[in-house]
Amino acid sequence: MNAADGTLPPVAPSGPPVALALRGLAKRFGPKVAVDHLDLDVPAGSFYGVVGPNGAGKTTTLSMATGLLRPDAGRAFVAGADVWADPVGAKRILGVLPDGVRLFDRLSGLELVRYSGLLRGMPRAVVEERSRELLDALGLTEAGNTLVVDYSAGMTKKVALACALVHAPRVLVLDEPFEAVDPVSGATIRSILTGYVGGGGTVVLSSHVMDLVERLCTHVAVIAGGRVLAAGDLTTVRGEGTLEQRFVDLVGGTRDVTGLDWLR
Amino acid sequence: MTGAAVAPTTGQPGVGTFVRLKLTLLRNGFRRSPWQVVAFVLGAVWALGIVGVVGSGLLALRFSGTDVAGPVVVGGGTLLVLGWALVPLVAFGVDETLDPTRFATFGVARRRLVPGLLLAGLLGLPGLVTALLAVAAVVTFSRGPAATAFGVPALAVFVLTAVAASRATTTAAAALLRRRRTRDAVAVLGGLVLVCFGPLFNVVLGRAGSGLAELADLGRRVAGVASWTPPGFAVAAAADAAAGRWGLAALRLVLAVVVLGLLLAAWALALGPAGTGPAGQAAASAPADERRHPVLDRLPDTPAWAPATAVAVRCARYWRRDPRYLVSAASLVVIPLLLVVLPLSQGGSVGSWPLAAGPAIAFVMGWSLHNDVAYDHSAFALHVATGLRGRDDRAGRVLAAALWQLPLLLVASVGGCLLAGHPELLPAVLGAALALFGASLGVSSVASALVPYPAPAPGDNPFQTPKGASAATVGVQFGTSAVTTVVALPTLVPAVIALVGPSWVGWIALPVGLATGIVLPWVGVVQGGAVLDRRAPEVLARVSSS
Repeated sequence: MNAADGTLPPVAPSGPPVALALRGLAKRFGPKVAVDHLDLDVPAGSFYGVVGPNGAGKTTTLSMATGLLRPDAGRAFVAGADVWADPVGAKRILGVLPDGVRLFDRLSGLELVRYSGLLRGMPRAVVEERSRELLDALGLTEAGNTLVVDYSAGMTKKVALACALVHAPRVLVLDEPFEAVDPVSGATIRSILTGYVGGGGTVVLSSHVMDLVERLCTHVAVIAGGRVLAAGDLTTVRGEGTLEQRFVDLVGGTRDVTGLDWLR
Repeated sequence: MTGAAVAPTTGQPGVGTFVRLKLTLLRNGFRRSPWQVVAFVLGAVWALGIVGVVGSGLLALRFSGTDVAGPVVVGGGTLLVLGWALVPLVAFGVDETLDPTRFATFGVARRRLVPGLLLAGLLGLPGLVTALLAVAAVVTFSRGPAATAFGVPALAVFVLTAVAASRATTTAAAALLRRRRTRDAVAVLGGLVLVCFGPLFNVVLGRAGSGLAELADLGRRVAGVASWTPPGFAVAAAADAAAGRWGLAALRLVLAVVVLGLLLAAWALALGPAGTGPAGQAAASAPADERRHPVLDRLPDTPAWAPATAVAVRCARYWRRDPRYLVSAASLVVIPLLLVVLPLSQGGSVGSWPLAAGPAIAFVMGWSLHNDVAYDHSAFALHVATGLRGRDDRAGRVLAAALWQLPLLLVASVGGCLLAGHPELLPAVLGAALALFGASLGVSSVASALVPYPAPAPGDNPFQTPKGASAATVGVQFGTSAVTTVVALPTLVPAVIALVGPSWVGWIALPVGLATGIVLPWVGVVQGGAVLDRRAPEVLARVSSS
């Protein structure tokens, strides 16, 4: 960052190191503003949940934070590395599970995980060992030689997670990691992620499921209309009640459903 | 509150609903992108041109005898119906704005869905052109009030048959292709049939078309046969009425209506209950072959090499496993065949045509990579997320293609020269082939990073084309071909001189071609890699859009 960027706030003012810092991220698709100058700080070692209603801009924000979608304005830093000025440096320490993205599904599960390790320039032997361990941990050993195109939605999600983990990133950004995943696999993924955070890693995940975020995360940000409505550690954000109540208050409250008599 | 209120409303949508839906979708498409309006206007101008030319021909035929007008219109009409039925299978794809599977959750009965989609299918340029030509054909056959009155329903049946035929064939094919393995196999076969169709057609024409008089006679005979085939019944009925053969006309009209009914029934059957398609089975999983690559697995395992090698290994697997790549690879076999079969079918000897085999497949092979990233679709996100260097991405793709294509190029060049009986031209031919291969690989490496355009997504219905892509597609395809030819000129010029003049000039073409074949892919990988490093997110957005 040079002096010319005086308009931007400093990346890490003081206090604990920041694993992921978003500064004034903005994106519009035609007339629709998807993300509206969004700021967010994810402290290192936190398990950070990003929640928001449909169309809040969660996926757009996470895509811009991970270098998959170029923002109209603003910057993103992963452990101090500017994602858009120094993409190679930032991506080396970043693991990404994008949502709604295809995989190279004519590869087998094992080949795919191996591929994502090799793309990062890791030594073949290390990639081989880690790929097998990851598939084993995620219960995909038997499916390791099946083409990903023949996987179920949950298996696909798990193999994509393995791809994001293979290079042992320091920051993990997961867009809807629990979608379509069965309860048993969900528990496996949760324990993997908890262990990862326990070892000093940082996880940022988006989800619709408040319960899960409440149970799993140490920090939470509520996003709606492309802006952060509340962010911080879980107890501060949710206050007295549950996260769901707080979320509903912030986002606009439940509307008492009137009408629809014919449905009852 | 009451139990009775839970009972679903049982009404079914009328035909008007589908027509309105189609019009709404068309309008929203225009609103989404001004380029769609441009494409539509260009298409409309082109369509009006066809209607103008063919329509005025039909009007002119009004004043010729029915023995001339009949065969011409019947032949043309039969071809048109066949075109509706077959062209979407191999070329442009069917207009997917009203994909029947999207109605699956609405529980629309088939007997409502089919007529609705049929009429909605008429709304569009091809439908409009067909309908206008049918009106002109009514005029052609207006040889008296009775014939005119008969022609209107006959040609209405003709238009509906055309639309129904296209829907029936594409729906049936898509339903057959629901299982991945079947789909893969059929996509490959279909692609092969398509590439063979041109040469076959040419053979038939070459055999038949020796003189113009014979051609006219042939036309009459073909029309005679066509009038007794399902796609020809309706038009032939109108022609019979015009000629005053009322019995035959009535018979053929009945047959035409039966054909239309059968087509609609077949379509409905292929749609399955409520448009869901016949019950599909889960694809049987087979283990992926863990074959080791003879060359790629021996490349050094250093950080400088590993990513590019990994990309190359992945691409090599895709060349074997993805039907889109298999079709493109298999079509290469057809090119040399074409160069041998075509001259033979014209009655002559093979001549010097096989000389072109090497350069031709060299061009096609390298050029087939010009939209390679689009074949990845959004899976390309992995390359972006891992921070893969652009040049590694480029190099891997070029490497995987070159490893199996280069031997093919050598075989085709040497074989072509021997077959043509001109071994002394080998340096010229080989030089030209190497130059074209290198040039097209280099141009492709830059183009697929600079101007990717949406391609059929992996595993999609191969009969659907991504919307709003056609204008850009043609532009990029033309541009890349032109640039490839231009940068290969320094080799092509001496090669052509060797062909028509002293053959020793080929010894100039060979080293120049060899240099071109090495330098241009390298330049393409570096330049294309730089472009990709700058624009990877934009490329990802572009190729994910279909």
